Amino acid sequence: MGVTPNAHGLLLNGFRQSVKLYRDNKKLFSSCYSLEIMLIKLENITKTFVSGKVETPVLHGIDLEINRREFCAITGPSGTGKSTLMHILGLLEPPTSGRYFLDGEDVTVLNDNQQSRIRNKKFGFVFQSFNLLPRATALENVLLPLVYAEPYPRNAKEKAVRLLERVGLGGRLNYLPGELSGGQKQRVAIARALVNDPDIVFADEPTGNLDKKAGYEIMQIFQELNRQGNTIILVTHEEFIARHAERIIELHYGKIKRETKVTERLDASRELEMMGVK
Amino acid sequence: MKPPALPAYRPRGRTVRLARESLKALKATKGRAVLMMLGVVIGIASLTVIVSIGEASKLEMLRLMSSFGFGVDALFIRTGGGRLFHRRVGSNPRNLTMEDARAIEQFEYVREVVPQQVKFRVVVVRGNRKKRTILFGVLKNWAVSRNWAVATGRFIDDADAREVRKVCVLGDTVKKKLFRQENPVGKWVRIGKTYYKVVGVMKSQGILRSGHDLDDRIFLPLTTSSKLIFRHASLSGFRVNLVSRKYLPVALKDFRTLLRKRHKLQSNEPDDFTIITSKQILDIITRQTRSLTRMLAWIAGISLFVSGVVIMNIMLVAVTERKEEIGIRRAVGATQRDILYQFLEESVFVAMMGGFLGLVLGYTLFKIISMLFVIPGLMSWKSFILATFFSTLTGLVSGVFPAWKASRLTPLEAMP
Repeated sequence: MGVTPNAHGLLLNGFRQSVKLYRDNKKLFSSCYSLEIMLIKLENITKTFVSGKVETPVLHGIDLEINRREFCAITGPSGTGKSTLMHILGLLEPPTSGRYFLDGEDVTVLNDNQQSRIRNKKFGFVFQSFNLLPRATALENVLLPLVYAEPYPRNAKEKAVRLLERVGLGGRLNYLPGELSGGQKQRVAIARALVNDPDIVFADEPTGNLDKKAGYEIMQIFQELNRQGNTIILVTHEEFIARHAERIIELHYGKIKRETKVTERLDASRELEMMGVK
Repeated sequence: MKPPALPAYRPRGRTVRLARESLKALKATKGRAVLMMLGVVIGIASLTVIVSIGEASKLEMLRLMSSFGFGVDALFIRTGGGRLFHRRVGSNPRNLTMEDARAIEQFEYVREVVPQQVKFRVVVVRGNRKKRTILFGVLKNWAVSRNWAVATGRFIDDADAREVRKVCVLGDTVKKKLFRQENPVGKWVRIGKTYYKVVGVMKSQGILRSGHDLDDRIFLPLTTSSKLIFRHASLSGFRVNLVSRKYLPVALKDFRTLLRKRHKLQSNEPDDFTIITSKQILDIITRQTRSLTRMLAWIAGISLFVSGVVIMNIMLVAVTERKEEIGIRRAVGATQRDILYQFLEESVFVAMMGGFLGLVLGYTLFKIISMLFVIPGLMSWKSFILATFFSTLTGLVSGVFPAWKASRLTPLEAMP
């Protein structure tokens, strides 16, 4: 530069640059640090539903850790709090007490707006009843999370099309949900869950409304996603579905009864092949 | 490696995306949107008509004022008290004189006094043709101060008045009735038993929307008309031109005091003259359209209110019906404010569309009304702005509660 900077200017500039370096790379550093370790940490989470004067405790003190790139299944008999746990994990519902760390940050203290932003940036949801917008086409449904995304990705539409192709619906971009089968609807929902490149995909009984074959097809997609590095949290009451995951967390009336590493993991592709042979 | 960029905040892109979602939802329920619009259409149409009538009245006032011959810096003093244009038939006060006019001319802010004598239903005869018209006894300054010009010949001049000549100037309508294509200058017409020589014809001034034909007139020198037509020298009235309009309030007070004093009126007696200003003329025109305007104002108010209620109701139903949709949107990351804006935009869009249709309907209605009532058909940008403002307001006010309710739903409440 043509101007000779004085000492004061140099100092200030150096300070500014280090602040900028820290700011720009904060997320990068923290994500590197936690790459193979904890993504989610729950501390003594409880949930009690109150309707009128009746209090229904659902979760009594859950402690849980879920690592990045993990595929874990939450199982247990119905009414045991699986879905509630998933809703708390997905920031769809606040816990009554306890602490929830996501990426090392306590998210229970965040306000609704910040939680919405996290859902939009980091989470993808797949539900049992698909929950697609009935009047929107498959493509529009997949694009829905990006309506609220900031910033809006430039190649949003191409991305949505690519995702739909990936779940085998490349030819049905402009179909309404009513014109699709259950399995196809769920695949649209999966594409929607993936469009924002989420850190975690939550699936609440994704195969519950589907027949066996369609169910395996969905599980095949989830396993494929996991292999590519996605963290997947699956809620199911069916044991054979749960055995597609790496780890099974069994809930029993609001408490974690047992955590088991799946030894004989099922492979959905092979099962589909076998069904084809039959 | 490039460091990850901070998420840029681009509110404009986001707003556009939300608006697009609202429009999509509206398109999906067209029947409902029409229902929501209906009240706004009627309300804004009435509003448009009211505003247009107001504007048209002002325009008509200006034209009527010019027919009286005064702009904003002038006033008119007429013989006889009572309300303007409501003089009792048969009363013919003879109390405003040339001396009054001269006394008023003494005020330093008075530029000019233009006296006149007016007689209605005067029959002018030429050969076997007759024309009933209005007779004006005037001086030279009458035409000059109004900027009226003659088409042929000349206007009444000072010599005519001084020598009390039996001459007259015809309005265009009178000339056409009595002389057709002939040149009347130098010919004679008869009023009563006296013959008057035509010295000029006025240029046509046209017909007012109120039906006044400004050319249906005959002009005589003031002195001649006093002597032969009225048989007295008192004036029907005179116009006073002021130096500037800022003297108008002072002039009103001064003239009234002066004239009451000159006419020796006791303090309990009413005025035996009337001072007319442009404001009073506006009052008269507004009075003509007041009942219509008032009715339309009620219609506008009521229909905008009702449409607000309708919009609110339909939006509340929509919020209940679309709970699942709201839940899905919240789950994929819509904030409460996103949902609020989206629903609010829906009601505002509908109302604005209604406002636009109302503007079109109002314009059509006003065209018809301007044909029925004699007011000029003129639309102004004022009605456009008011329509936009009021329809947006209706949409906002009625949409805010349903939208707020929608935004308060938690993702799970909304999902089945």
